[in-house]
Amino acid sequence: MSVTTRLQAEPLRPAAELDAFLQGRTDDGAVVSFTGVARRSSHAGAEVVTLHLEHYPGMTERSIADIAEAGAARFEVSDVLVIHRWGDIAPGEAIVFVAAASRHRGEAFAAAGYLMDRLKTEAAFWKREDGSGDSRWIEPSAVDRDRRARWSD
Amino acid sequence: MTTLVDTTLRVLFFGRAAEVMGAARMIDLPEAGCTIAELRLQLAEAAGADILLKPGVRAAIDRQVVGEEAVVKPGAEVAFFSLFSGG
Repeated sequence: MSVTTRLQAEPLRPAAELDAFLQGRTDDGAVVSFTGVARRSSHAGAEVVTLHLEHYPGMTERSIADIAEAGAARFEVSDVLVIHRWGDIAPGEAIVFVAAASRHRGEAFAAAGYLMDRLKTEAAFWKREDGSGDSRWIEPSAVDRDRRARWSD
Repeated sequence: MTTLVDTTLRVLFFGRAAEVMGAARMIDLPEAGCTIAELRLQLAEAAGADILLKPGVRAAIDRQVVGEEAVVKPGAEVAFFSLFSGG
């Protein structure tokens, strides 16, 4: 089993990442992937020109790796991949890419959902939505917290 | 012979706290160190701003989240930040 995590400033290419993740995979019947994309409008409907993700080198990587390792230990998956961006992200660009491979689809779907629900609430990022005239720091929404709570033991 | 001890401390700020405090500050610590709670007060006074005293602003020593009574020693790296936004 492999758990791979990456934090990068460079643009993320989900199709290429998924393609690489699928290469040579002959024992798994299921690969589930998720791509999180920057939206052009905030929850309240305000325009977002840039999504700014601040990270703390060392701590942010550790938080992502901890979540990925917990997901790999919790579900019957053969491989887990998490790639996250930091920096300034334009609407339409990918922020995060998650993939989980398993012999059967149930565990792969569950693992991908778990990884995203935890990343959305616990990854060590500070997010700011920059509009054309104003900026807003954002925190996990009530929906994000509810989704995270589903996985509490 | 006296031993020179570097008593400077590097403090980093992230998120909303960085907007007020700047990205980093160097401060002098007592040789024996001080607690996170004491450090908050010292930094707030030095900056003339109360962002670090607001609820929800957490602290980390050497990238591990810690509580108010944790002791900071010279040479450590301390960070203060608002709640994680998540990814």
